[in-house]
Amino acid sequence: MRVAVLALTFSCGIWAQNANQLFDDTVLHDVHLYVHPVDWQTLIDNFWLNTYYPAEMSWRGLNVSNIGIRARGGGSRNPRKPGLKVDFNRYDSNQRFLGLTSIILDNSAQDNSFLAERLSMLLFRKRGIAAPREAYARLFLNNRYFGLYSIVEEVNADFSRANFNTTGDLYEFRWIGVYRFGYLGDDPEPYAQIFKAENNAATNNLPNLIDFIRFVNTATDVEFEAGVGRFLDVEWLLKYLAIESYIGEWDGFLGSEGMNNFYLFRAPGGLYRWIPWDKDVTMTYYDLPLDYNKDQNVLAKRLMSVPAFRRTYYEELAAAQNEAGGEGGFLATEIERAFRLMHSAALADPTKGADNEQFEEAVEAVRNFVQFRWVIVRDVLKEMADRP
Amino acid sequence: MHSRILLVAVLFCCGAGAEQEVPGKKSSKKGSKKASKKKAERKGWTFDMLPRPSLRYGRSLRVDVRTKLHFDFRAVEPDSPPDYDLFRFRRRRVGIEGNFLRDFEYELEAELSQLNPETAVGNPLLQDAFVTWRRLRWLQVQGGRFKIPFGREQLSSPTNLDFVLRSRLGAELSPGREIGVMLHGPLLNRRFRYEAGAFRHDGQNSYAADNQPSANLTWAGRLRSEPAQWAALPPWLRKLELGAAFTRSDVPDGRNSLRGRTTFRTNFFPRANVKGARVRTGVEAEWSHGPVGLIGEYARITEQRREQSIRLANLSDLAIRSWFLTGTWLLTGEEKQGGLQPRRPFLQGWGFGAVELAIRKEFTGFSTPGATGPPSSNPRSDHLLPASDRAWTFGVNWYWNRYVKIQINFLRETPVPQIEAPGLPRQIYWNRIARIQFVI
Repeated sequence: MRVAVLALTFSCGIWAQNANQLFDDTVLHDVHLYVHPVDWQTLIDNFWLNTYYPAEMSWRGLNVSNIGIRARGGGSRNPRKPGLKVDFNRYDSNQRFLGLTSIILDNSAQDNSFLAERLSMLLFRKRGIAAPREAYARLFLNNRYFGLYSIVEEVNADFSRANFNTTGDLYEFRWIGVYRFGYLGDDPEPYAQIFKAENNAATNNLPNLIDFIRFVNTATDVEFEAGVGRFLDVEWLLKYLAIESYIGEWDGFLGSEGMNNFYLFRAPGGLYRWIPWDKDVTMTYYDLPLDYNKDQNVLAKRLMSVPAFRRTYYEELAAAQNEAGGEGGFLATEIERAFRLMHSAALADPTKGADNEQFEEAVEAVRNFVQFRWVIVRDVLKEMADRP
Repeated sequence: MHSRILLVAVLFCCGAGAEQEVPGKKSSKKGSKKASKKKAERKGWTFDMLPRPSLRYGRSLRVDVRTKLHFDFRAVEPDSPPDYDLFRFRRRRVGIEGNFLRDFEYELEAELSQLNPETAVGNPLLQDAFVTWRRLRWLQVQGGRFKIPFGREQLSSPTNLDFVLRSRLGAELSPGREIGVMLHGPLLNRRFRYEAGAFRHDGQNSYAADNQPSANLTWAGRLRSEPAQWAALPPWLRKLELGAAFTRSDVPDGRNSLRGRTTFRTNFFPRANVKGARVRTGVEAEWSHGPVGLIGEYARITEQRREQSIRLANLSDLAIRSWFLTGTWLLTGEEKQGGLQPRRPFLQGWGFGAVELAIRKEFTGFSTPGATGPPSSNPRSDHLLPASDRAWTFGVNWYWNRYVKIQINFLRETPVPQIEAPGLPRQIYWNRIARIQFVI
């Protein structure tokens, strides 16, 4: 009887697992990936291609087969430690793993500290911006420890439903050149290349997005202030911009080479909202100007030219600073917790791009960023407050 | 544009007088043999223009110039693939064949489109390039680049085909050209003909898109017979030929299997992961009686998938079945066997040439018989999602004379692809092709 109860409890425990457990960032997960050696070598040899290869995955005793993996990433792509996209429904459209159709295994190739993106997404979520969940994982490839990765929640229909209770219009921004929210004419083709529709609704509603962009570029100041709220969740975007500014993002909405690294979402009949993506080059330059590139981006420039919106932006910046905290604050505490969690795995990572000394230096640099950024933002906000 | 001008010029020059000749026809062979013998008896250098340019030096040397030009017009409905040109100069073959000394024959043929980077498709410039030593009639030795002896349709010259396009069995699954050595000749008092050889790889048709061979050393053998040579058969069965063939090669680890491609060159079964032996076995038959003819082939191909599961276990073999059956009928009453000579060539007096109707049914299927588990498009699944392609081809062949033939074909094709095959919805496709052929 006791054995039966125990067995029932054990099995229920396994069956009760869901995506929340997979993205539990309080533990260091072990993810086992099984790939045929020839396929893995082919993936490495052709790491720039998006070719899928069959694989099997195991996590906490749960096995899933008939899945597909491919190399992924832009600047983070590399053959030594490829970032991976894992599609659970690649070969069986009805298959899901813990309710998910796919996940990302991020290689942290552009962040030697393994901290920046995770902390950035944490801050976004704490401030109420829907952002992907992330958790550290040791990736084992064919039973051999391959490296420290992050399991990243993919921004897709599952994400939209979980965060907005609907799938809506979802676009992935594709960087194909410098674009700063300019109006490209009425032909949908150039927009479709930049704002890649992730579902049919997005494809069908692209004209709405074009209307939004046209409005931002052609409305008078009065029309803009009065009407932008018909298209855009202004408060959401101002909060988003403030957080990007706080974390020192130079490759995001106000990127040095134009807009980059975001998804765009709109619920049916709703307003456009930005979703952050790929924040692995943040928390580097603590002295990045707070108004970095705001006058380069059409939408940001227009928003900041409206006194009420500018006020809201700085309020959000102050809130982000408050949430992040400086020395001993939230982010600083989170750095130490995460560091304790993944430190050994990072040191033992045989495929990471940096050596162990560079890893330790990168972690220290993030500590410094968190501390000094808070000070800089505090001083700027104080200076603004003191202005007559 | 230049191709079309050339086409018009060729048709104009060949419109009158010359006769369509296809190698293999008995009656023309007799006649040409006599003529050849007569020519060979002449001493010293000679040069003749008819039936084709031929340079000779007694019996010691013969150089015959051959050319094959194919102009194709084609369209697929619905949805022509983006690179499926409406007009295509499909073949520009120039070659020489003949003999040197007494015991050696040779053939060299080049595809001139390979000289132009814009039209080159990764195939070599030289198509056929081989020498045959034939001192012993029963043991002739052939070496060079030539077709692996498998697949009657694949082994037929493109100028002799009843249709513009070969069947899937002939075009995709039979090996094609390869470098190798082969023994061949008659057996048992000419009751049988055999061919047996070893080849460097498994033939051009099995090569991957980047022109990499998919298999290593390949053994091949073929045996043919005309039963009328050794058995008493009724008159209507006298022109029956039967054959069987096999190939065996070792396929290295990788996505190296044969693939299924439609007539408009879209995959309905992409290459699968295989490792081990690739074995082809096939049977063939050809029969004709007066103006009516039938040709059929059936082949079964198995490819081992050793250590192809994700965890390196063996998977069930990949099996391919393919067959076709062709019927032809010469409306103008000429006799059909191995070639055709119009009784009244086009534009000679009231001559119209020869007109032939042709119909072909074919099937090709990929599966993993004996596999376990549900079928999947996962290339490392034991049970691969099956795929198949069926087609009917309806054709009219108009033989003007020995040089010019016009073919018009309608293909009704129904591919049933694996789920993963992109850009190939499951529906009926109509492929219309016309070809103008000019040969010397």
